[in-house]
Amino acid sequence: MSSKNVVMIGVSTGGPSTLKELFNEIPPLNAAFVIVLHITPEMDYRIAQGLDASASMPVALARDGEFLKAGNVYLAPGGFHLKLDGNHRVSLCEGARVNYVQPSVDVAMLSLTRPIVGAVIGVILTGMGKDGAEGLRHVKRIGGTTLAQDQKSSVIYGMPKAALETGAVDFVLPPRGIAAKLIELLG
Amino acid sequence: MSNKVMIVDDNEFIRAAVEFICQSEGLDLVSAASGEECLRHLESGFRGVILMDVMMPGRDGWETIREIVARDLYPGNLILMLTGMGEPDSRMDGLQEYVTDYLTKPFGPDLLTDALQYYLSLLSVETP
Amino acid sequence: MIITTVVVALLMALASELVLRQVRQEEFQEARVTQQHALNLFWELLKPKGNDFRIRSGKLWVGAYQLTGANELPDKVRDITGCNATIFQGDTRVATNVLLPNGRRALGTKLTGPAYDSTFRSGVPFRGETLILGSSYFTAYDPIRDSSGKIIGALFVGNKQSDYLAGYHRTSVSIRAISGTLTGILILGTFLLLSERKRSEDEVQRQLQFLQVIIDAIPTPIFYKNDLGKFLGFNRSYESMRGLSREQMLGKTVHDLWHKDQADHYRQKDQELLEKSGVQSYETSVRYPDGTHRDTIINKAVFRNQDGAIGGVVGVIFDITERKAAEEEARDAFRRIADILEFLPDPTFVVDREGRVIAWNRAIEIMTEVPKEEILGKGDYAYAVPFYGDSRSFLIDLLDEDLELPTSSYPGVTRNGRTLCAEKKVLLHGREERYLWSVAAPLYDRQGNQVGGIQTLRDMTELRRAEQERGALEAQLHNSSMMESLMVQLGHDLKTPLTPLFAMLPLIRRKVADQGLERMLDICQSCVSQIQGLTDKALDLVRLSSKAEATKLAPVQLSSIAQQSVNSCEALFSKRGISCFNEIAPALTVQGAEGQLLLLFDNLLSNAARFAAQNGVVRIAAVPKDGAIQVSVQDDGIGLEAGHKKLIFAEFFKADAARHDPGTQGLGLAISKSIALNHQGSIWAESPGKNLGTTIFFTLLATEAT
Repeated sequence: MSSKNVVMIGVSTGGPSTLKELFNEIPPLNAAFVIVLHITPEMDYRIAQGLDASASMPVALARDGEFLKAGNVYLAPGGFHLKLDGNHRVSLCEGARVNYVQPSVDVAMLSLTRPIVGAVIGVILTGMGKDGAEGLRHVKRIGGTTLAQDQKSSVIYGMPKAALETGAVDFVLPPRGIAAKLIELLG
Repeated sequence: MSNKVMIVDDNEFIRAAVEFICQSEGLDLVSAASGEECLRHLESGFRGVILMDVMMPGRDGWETIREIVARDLYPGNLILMLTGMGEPDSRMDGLQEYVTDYLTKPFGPDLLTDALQYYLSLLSVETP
Repeated sequence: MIITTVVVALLMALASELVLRQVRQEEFQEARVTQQHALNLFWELLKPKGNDFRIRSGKLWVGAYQLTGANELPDKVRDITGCNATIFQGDTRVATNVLLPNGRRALGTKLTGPAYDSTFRSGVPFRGETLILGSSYFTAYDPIRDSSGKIIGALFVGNKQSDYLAGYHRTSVSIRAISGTLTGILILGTFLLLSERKRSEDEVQRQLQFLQVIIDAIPTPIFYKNDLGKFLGFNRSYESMRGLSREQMLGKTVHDLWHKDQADHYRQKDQELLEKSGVQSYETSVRYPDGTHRDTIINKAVFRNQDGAIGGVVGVIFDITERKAAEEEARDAFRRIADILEFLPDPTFVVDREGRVIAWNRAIEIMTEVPKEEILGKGDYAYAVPFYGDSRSFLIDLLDEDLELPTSSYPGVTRNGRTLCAEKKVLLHGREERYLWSVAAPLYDRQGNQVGGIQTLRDMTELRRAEQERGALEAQLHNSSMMESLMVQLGHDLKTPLTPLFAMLPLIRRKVADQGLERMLDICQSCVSQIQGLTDKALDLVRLSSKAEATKLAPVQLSSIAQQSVNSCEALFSKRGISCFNEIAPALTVQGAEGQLLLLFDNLLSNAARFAAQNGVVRIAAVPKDGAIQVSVQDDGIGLEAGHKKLIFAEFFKADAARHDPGTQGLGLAISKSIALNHQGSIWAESPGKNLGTTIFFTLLATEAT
């Protein structure tokens, strides 16, 4: 199933539990999900497997050069920055930390381009710092839809707050609300 | 030796509370009263879920994590912050990848056990 | 001096020579006498022998005594007189103690020369000096005549001059030596004296030249004249002032050099001075060579010679043209300063030595409401009256006093050099309390005498009051920030012991079967919850009302925030069957901080849930009003008593009904109020009455976009 819909999720501390909660609410959808979680190479596959066990869609580590497929969840591996070519091909690259982190949500989201066909959705979930704020602003600029997690449900509100302060956030919601919104947008 | 849970907190009652909780769940617990002790346990081979307090005399939680990473003691471990502080400040910058969750005090026993069970299950995932 | 010395030296030499000669003469005379005596003796020695002298058989005989070879006779003469003696037979020595160089008697040697001539030819006894065998002798020869009167021989006595004069020689050597030494000393002395004199003369000359150099270096004209008015000397400055050269002026009088009138004037002045002695000083106008007239002061004095007589006058001329101009300038400056003083913004007055007011500027007129006409010229502390109501000493009066300030009478006065500063509270015009700050300083004339004082005042009342207020505010602020940090610390510190309670009570509860124990543990858990709730809310309140940083307001969607809150209060609402309606327009944006607004709605909605009627309705709405957005949360529950409308926003207030409810801390509305304030809005409650429901209103800033 090839589709041009891409959902990019940026998340940090509190990620594993929040993602589990989120993906518990999401049925298989017509989009490729790319998760950029601040993670180390030792943990990334564990998270992927853990999530894979509970999510309704398959979850695996993104591989360099891989073509994204709708109805799949890809986790950016630790130790690299992830970029997408043409919004559908994975490119992993080494490089310095950005916003003190690696992989960086900003790097991933900034690699997205205005789609001729299909939707781009950016989501910022719990985390400390401001990684992803610029990325989300970019998503908005290229005509995408933007969501940020609300303060109440965020383990750490830093990243969603920074995203909100860009003024480029369309929806502020708890995980369930985000799930509902995604279903709505991609349904 | 691969224990499963470590509590790093300078307050003995909190350590005791966590101990009781772990006991009732049948989880092995190692106690550390300071960042230094934590490092010692890690050097001795501890691998598992580390409950790390932020505010401690001597090395605080963040400094301890930095030292863990510097000494390459992180692989095989998973760190959850345990803190009375609200949102963390910029001292956490650069440590995002190493901090998997953030629990605020006071916490109920169920919240803690749920988290511990979940994260221990993550750690038990075999190497691909 | 040299001549004298030479003369003296010569005289000395001459004198010693004369003396020596004299001595010599004496010696010679002495010798002659001695010889005569010796000769007499000789004759006497012969007398017993007879008196007929004859030559017999080639020998000289007297009586029966052979004289020839009779050395014993001359020897006897020598023994007695010390003179050499000889008996001549003819011109030949036949008995003698005159010795040859080899030490033998000079027998057989002949007499020659003048002595021979005299004695033998002339028959005259010879007295005199004769050369005998190469040495000079004092000699005396007497002829020996026979009975016919024919000279047949001679008797001789004599002394070797050298022997005889040995003593004389010694003496003469000594005398000459002494004389010579004395002369030498004299010459040396003269020489030293002369060179000394030359040196001191040179020294004097040098000093004189040096003095001239000095006075030439002095840029002020200096001159000196003798008592007859002739110029003895002057310096270069004087020369150029007069435009005349040294040669032209030296030795001349004023009359030789200048116009009669001028010269008369000078001479007259000189005369006065010479008569009175001492010092003279006067101002006069002098005509300079370039034709200009310049004002000068001439200071003169008499000087005396070594013997005390008046030698003349010495004078110094100062050109005071500039000084006079400066004085004129100073007077102008003073006038200008007086003008400035008049318009100084600070009230200022000046007093003279007697304490009379000599300046009273405009500003002090205004401050004291005393015009200058009323106070100028007045003394007796008149300046104190407007401030104190009576005449008493003022700061300016302390300038007179000694360096030790009387701290008792005037506390708070500080001295800075010669200036005094003080601040005092006065009752101006007898009715207004004002804080006045003063500075007083003495005024001096050119010579350094104090001629008065100046004091300037400044009304510090407003400043002091503002400072006092600020001080009070700062204290308040300090206190409140202390309270804040205390609260924050407390909040954090409470979490630590709360944690074990929170963590362990449930564990215990699970293990307990006894109902009583269960109940007790439930109570414990409730209490812990309450403590935790209080702690959290108190921390929230402190955080929200902290002055540390102003709330950052940004455009936010009010409806979605309200909705989030509604969603999270879902459980509370459904427990009592309450329906909640969010009627805020989705598009409405306001200036707000999302987190705080969320908390605000949470508080209001949880209150509403608690107080709404069973199965009641809660409505949330927002309408534009008076340029702002007025938001309302309305319930249909127990309502408010009239007196409670304000009280409910106070910390820890709970309406009676809620006092027992451990689920609420009474801080919710206080927190809401804080949030409203942070949003630069206001919050209030309205209620038609008991059981008629309550509506909480708050205002928010609209964004320009909507």
